[in-house]
Amino acid sequence: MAIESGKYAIVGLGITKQGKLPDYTTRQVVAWAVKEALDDAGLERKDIDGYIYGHQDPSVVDLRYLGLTPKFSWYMQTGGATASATVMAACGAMEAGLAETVLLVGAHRPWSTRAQIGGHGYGIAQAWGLVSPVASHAFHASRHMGVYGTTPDQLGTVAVVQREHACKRPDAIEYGNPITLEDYYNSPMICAPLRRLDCTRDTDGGVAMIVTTAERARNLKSKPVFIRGLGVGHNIRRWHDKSLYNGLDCATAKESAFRMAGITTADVDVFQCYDAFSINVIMQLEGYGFCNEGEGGPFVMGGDTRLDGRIPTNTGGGQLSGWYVMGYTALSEGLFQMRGQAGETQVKDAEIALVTGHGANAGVQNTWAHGCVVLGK
Amino acid sequence: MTTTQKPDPKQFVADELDLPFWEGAARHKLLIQHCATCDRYYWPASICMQCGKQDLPWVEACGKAKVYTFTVIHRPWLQNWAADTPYNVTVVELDEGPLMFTNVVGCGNDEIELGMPVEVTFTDLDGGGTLPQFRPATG
Repeated sequence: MAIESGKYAIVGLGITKQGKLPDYTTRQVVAWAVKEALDDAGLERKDIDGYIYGHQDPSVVDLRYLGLTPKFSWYMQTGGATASATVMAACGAMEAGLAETVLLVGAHRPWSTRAQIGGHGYGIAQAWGLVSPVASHAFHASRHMGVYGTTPDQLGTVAVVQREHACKRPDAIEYGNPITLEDYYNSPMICAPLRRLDCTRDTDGGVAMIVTTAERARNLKSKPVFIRGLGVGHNIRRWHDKSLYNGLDCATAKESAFRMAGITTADVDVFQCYDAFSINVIMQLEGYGFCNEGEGGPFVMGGDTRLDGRIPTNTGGGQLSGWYVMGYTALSEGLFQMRGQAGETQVKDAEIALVTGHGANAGVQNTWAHGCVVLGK
Repeated sequence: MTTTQKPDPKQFVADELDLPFWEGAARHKLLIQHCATCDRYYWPASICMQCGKQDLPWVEACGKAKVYTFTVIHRPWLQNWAADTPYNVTVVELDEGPLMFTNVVGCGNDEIELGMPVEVTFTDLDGGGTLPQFRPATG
């Protein structure tokens, strides 16, 4: 049985400086994000009774250093789906009566440590020289281009539109740095058909947020954002029916999340989708029904993901023009939009935000875990 | 194309379950798994999705396939492959059904397209091991 829509809420949001943090350790970045989130919510450390850290390195889970004494401390990692997965784990723990104020943290320093996100080790296909998430996502892009006629102009326009959003947001890394399609074509080819400007970058930074009951959330300092829907899918299904490289398993996630929230695609006011690469945006616009299968490219070209378009998408610039913390970028922007704190890219009267993430291969390339969270006022 | 620096592909197997594939490649045989009960083929090591049978026998594939998707890698993250850039990594759909990772050789990267018929060819690596690769089909 699904959790009741709106029973839990996300309160305090803490975001550290994003980009380059060479003078910090990862533990310090975590502590920074935690302090910001607690201050934002008006909660104290002793109030936190559950802790979930979205990272693959357990050595960075240091509750002593954070001054926390929760009843549980879990670390979990499923690539770009980590943020949504930690929200689900928090809701599940609360639903089971195990906790009532759960702190979620994502933090890493790949820029400073020169650790490539996703790593080199991509399993068996590495024998043929396949490395890195960008090569895997290029499989998606080539397939999408071949099957549906998606064009480089359309991929480039995803990057251009998100940069337009970033140029309105001083908190985006690429603020003040607009790009054109010509810039896109001048950016180097990484794994064809994906160029440098199709890719997110490896930024340092941390994010923390707190999940609690709606009842408790209403009495806290920060404006609560309610969790309306939760959904998961997995692309391993599509390995077996050989539609794997056409898209992501949004359909399964959408079905449960939208049922829980009692909404349809038309009710979604802002879309914060996981954009490790430009092609992800196109596939997810299709997967969640904002346009028909194969029409994501023309949809973006037509301006429908702009602020005045049919579904304003990645309004903070996304990961392409902003920063990357394992899916917490999209989740944070969803919270900003629901709190009315998205500055110049605030979508007026937005009531429902859809947030997604995908990541972590499970057997072969592109068998990603997918997750989504529907947020509401 | 120099192959001297490429790692022995056997080092990328998660465990011994995929070893028969690489041992077959060394004998220039393209091996995939077959469930005789359901007449379904699998790659890499799998259990049968239909009946759940484990330890499926490895059988020789016919070696014919079609290009399913591909990428051309320009940035040599792996120095073993640096001399080859730009090189392709391609997913092919074997005639027996499964998808498989490979490289397409014997034509330019700009000649590769979805649906293109290809056939297996084996490249012995100087550093040990053999890579099953595919070339444009001859007939």
